[in-house]
Amino acid sequence: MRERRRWAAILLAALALCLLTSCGGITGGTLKVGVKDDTTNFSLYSAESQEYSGMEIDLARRIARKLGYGGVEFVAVTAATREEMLDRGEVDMVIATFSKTEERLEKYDFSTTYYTDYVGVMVEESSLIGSLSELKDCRVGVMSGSTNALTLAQYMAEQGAIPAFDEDSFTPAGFDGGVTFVEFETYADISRALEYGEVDAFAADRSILNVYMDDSRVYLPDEFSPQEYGVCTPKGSQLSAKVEKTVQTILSDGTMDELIQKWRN
Amino acid sequence: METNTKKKSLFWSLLDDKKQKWHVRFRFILVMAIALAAVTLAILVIAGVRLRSTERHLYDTNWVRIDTVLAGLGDGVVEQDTLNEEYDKIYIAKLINTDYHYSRVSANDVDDAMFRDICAYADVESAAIIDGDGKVYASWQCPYDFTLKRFNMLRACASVPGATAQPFSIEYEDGVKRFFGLQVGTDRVLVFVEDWTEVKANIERMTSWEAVLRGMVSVDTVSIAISLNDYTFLYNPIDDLTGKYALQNGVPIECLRETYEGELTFGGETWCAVGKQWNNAMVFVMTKADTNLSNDSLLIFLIAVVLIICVGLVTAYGVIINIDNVRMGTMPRFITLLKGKDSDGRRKNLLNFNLTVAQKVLPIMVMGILAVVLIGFYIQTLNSLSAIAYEANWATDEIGNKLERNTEDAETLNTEYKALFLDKCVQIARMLEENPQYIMEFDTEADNVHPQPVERNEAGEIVSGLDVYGNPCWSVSEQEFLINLCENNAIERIAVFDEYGRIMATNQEDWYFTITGDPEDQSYPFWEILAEHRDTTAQDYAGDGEGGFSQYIGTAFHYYTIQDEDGSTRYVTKEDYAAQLAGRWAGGPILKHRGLLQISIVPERLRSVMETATLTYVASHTTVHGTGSILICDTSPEHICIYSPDPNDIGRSALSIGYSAEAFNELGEMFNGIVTVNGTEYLLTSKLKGEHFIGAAVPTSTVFSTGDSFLPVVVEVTVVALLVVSLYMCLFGAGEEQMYRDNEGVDHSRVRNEQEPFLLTMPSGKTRRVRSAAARWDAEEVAWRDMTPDQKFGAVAKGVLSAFAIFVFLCIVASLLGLVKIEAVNYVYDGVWSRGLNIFALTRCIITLLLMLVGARLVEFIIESATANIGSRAETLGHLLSSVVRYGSALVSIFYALYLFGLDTGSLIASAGILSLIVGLGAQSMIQDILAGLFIVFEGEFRVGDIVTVGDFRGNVLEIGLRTTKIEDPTKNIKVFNNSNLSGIINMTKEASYAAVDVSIEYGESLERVEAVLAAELPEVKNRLPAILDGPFYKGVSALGQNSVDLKITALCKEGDRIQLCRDLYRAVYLIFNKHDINVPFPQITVSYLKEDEKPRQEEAKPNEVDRTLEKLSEDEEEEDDEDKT
Repeated sequence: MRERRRWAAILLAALALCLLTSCGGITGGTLKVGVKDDTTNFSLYSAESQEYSGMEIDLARRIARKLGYGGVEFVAVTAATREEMLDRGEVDMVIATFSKTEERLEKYDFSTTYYTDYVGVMVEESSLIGSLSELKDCRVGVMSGSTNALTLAQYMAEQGAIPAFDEDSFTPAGFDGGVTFVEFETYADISRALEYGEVDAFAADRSILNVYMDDSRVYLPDEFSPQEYGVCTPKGSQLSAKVEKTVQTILSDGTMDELIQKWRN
Repeated sequence: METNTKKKSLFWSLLDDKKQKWHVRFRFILVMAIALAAVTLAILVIAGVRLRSTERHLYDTNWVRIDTVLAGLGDGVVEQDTLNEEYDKIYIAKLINTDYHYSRVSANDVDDAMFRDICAYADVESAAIIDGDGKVYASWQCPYDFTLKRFNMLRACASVPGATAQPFSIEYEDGVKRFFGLQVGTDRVLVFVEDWTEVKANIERMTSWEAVLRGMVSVDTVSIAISLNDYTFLYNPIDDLTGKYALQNGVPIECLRETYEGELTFGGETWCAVGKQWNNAMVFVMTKADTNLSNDSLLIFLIAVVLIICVGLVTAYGVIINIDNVRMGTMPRFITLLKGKDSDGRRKNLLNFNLTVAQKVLPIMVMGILAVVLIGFYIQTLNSLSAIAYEANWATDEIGNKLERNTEDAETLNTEYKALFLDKCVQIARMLEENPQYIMEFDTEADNVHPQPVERNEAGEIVSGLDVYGNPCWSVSEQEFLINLCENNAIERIAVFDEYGRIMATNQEDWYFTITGDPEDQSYPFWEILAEHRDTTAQDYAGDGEGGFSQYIGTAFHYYTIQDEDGSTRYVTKEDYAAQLAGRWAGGPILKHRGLLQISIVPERLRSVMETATLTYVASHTTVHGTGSILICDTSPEHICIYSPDPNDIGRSALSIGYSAEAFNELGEMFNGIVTVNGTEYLLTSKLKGEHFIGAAVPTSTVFSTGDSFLPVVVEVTVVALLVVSLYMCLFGAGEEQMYRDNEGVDHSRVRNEQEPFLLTMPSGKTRRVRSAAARWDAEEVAWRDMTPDQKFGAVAKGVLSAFAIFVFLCIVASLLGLVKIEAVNYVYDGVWSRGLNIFALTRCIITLLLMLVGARLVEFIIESATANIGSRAETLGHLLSSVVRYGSALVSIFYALYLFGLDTGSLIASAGILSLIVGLGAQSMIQDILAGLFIVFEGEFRVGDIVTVGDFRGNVLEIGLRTTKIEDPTKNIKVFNNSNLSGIINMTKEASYAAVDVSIEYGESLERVEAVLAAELPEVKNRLPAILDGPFYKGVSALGQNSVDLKITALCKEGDRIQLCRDLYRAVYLIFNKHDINVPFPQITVSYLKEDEKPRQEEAKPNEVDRTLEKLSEDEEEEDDEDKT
């Protein structure tokens, strides 16, 4: 009996030690995470209940817990503001359908990809546009600050829909190589412009386009340019390595699959 | 087993009596505990299985229901499409009509003013004409940039002759606009834009989630829908959650899978939900988890309690008898079931069956089984029936609501359609007035051109058939232009009537029809147009009585004629007529004629809405309790079926098919009952709802569908449990047998006095130990240890059953107060059900009786305890009040029960029928008694505790009741008087009485001496007799008797002591007389003998004998016992 009790004590101590070490030294405190507030299934803010919900929200909570934070504070960011807010230190990390590009990788640390999305193009049915080649001479609405315009132009050039162009000097607003781009501050604005006919197509990640889909709209059949979403931290941040480790754990132990499954309706 | 009994016997033999007894007691109490625990466990297991199966059943039902809901949603989408299509068709027709009307619309020199006219003509918001590049040639109120790719749909049809563009909507900030396009001329597109906000809202309202999901399923079941785009509730009636964010309002994201089954929580309640994905939405059908379960758990709970009580009582009885046997040292009668030998080789009985116990326990066991079966059956029936009635009630209400809703929809649509099609009709008329050539140019030789027959009136004048110029009139059937027009405008038929009300041209084959001026005729409104009483008419959409549905719309149509040189009739345009009016006309005089353009339409959507607005449709789409269906009858005396589960019955009298007349209560009471229709028994619930009787008929075979597997199981458990318990009570082994034998004849009972309480043997052979009959109405009770086993069992049973009654009472009260939800009880109390011999009335009756009984007992208790210590008057009043409460509650209950069972008690009381009934039953004396009782109490003639004499019966008043008074004499016998017989009462209760004795002395005695002796001795007497309050007093000579002088001596005392004091006084006086040799005279007979003189001696011995006896008496203790009357 006494023997057994001693074993139990040792086991308990071991367990406690494990718990302590797994905390990685950070105890308490709040992790500030920049997230989107308008992307259903990824991160959506409900004004009524004043809460965020979505796959990225769940992911952020798990990362914070694994890192030993006491809580998570969500800060709404957009594609245009997320980099700036990260630079200014207003958020510790960004988990906001932030896709990795070479340019961004130079400026920020990205974790391993947790979700891969593709860029798609949505048009109104009444515009009778049925394929990417018909998109020639059209105005395409894109989110300012996103890479969608460039990837679309690249893809169209690849497909021969528009002539090849100089990618280095590419800016969405200034491009005029067979297709024009109109930049908007919010996705809702693009959707409205598409409705009114101010733009002829809406290019964005499919996960985002899904939110704005309705009966009178269609997707063009092409999907291109895989977008690898990663957790973004400032370059050389102390967090980077820990976040990377955590994300890898989440990916390897199946948690991420669970989350993706959970939020895929 | 054998070693066990051996051990036991060895062990028991070592025990002393007391321990043995305790051992037996312990053994049986243990058995009782085990038995109860086992039964409870069994019940719990059954309950668990049962609840699970109910829950399963709930989910299964909802899986069926969700398919219906999804089908309904599918219908909704189809309806939405149909509606959209119909509206679109109307606008495309407008485009086509405009094209006909304004043949110059595609020319290059069109201007905006013309488009203003077009907008007015076609009644659209904006119009424009564009080419394939989106260039606008002319427009009115049309700010749209048609060069945008958004409008490709419109521009694309420019190159396809006669093409129409697929209409599409754009949601602008100021509303929804819908765009329609028609190719006209060469490479031009005529575009109409209409504000679609209201139409869209209307369509959405009629086909919305709410419209489809509300009231779709069943009572206590709702359907909700959640958008998978933004996770808001598309529809959720609970807590008004529609439009709210679902993920934080009770729906975890995990539920939003392809299919879902599980619990959801809304509004603080748990719902058993099943869900399926449908068109980017998740639809759930869910039922309140506790509604069905609470009914079932009530059933299970009650049966469990009854079962436990039964088992408990059987065990208790067995235990009591066994313990009594041991205690009294009685050897029970038994038969040996199993014989064997012990280790020493001696023969012994291993297993015995106790007949004494069996004989007593068996009837109780049978009664227990009966009780469980009866109560189980009763509760289950009540549950099922109340559930069905509840559901049927819901269904009938829902039918009413659905009808109302559908009728509203139909009316909205009807109005809209009437406006739209009238509009269209007027457009066509204008177009034809402008372009008479479309219909007026025909070849009289053609097959479809018919000369109209010439008709004359009575005077012989030609009425019709010839026009004003005397030329024959023609009717053109299957007119080509009109056929096209119909197709383009989605019109069923067009007919152009001339001024005589005859058809000039029609798209139909049938050309011979005349509008008449008969006000009764259907076509009268159209005649009014011809007669210039009105310009337009639009009939309501209605059936034509032959299965077809169409809507007729008409407008005035003018045509203009001129007579040619050759005498023939020529049709000219409105413009020519206008020219004539302006004086610019060169030809002959143009005559204007007022004709009529009539169109008829078959609006598909309106038809379907109209159909859904009919009783039949709603009824056929409503089910009750799974298999039940709806019956609808009218209020005529024959109750003609408007809808019935069997289509053959429709149109027949419900009474002739087998429905009973009681099912149709004109007063609005709900009917519940069994009817046999076409050989099938139905449980019918019906009531008057508006203009119809709506009933729900559930086949009786399916009434208990959800619970039929339950009752047999319960009965089995009961029988097995009771059998096992009773068998165990009856069996005993060798050890116990030995104990019984050792014990035989040894009485361990501690009854000190066998006489009190004494043993009473009943005619049935049972024994009771009682003190007196008074114990029945007094609180006096025999101590537990003095009771016979039967009494003990009775006491236990009474206690348990009272506890049960109080428990049920509390449950019912709690349910009525809404603290606990017992649906059956609430239904019985709040629901609408018909009076009569049915289960609801019975239940209500039982509940009322129980409430009355327990309530009355409670009131009685309060009254009695309140009045007990105040005084005798209060106590009497208390008795009386409790009697009033007791009899009053019983009387009220009986009346109420009669009322519930359908007797008209109101008139029974009103017509004094009940009084004559009481008199007739010989209750007249009862009333007398009651009145007398009231007088006794209020006049205070005597009270409880008084000493009274009634006739020759003297005693203490024990109790004054409403009807009887009980008086107890000093020997403790109780005489019960009817109050009305209590006349001439002597109330002997007063502060003090005089005890008076008459003593006699001989005539020879000196009175002075005696008086002196008495004066000296009497004060001494007072000292010896403490009952004397004052005296004794010598009161003089009371009589000079025949043989003696009688002296009177009195003493003041309490009335209770008086009689004994008299005796004591006699004794004292006698002793005094003896002491002073004063003789008390007694009749002396002197017998003379002629020869012998010895006899007188013997007679002298008598006083001596008396003396001795008196002395003996004086040695006895003086008892203060108020004994005996004289």
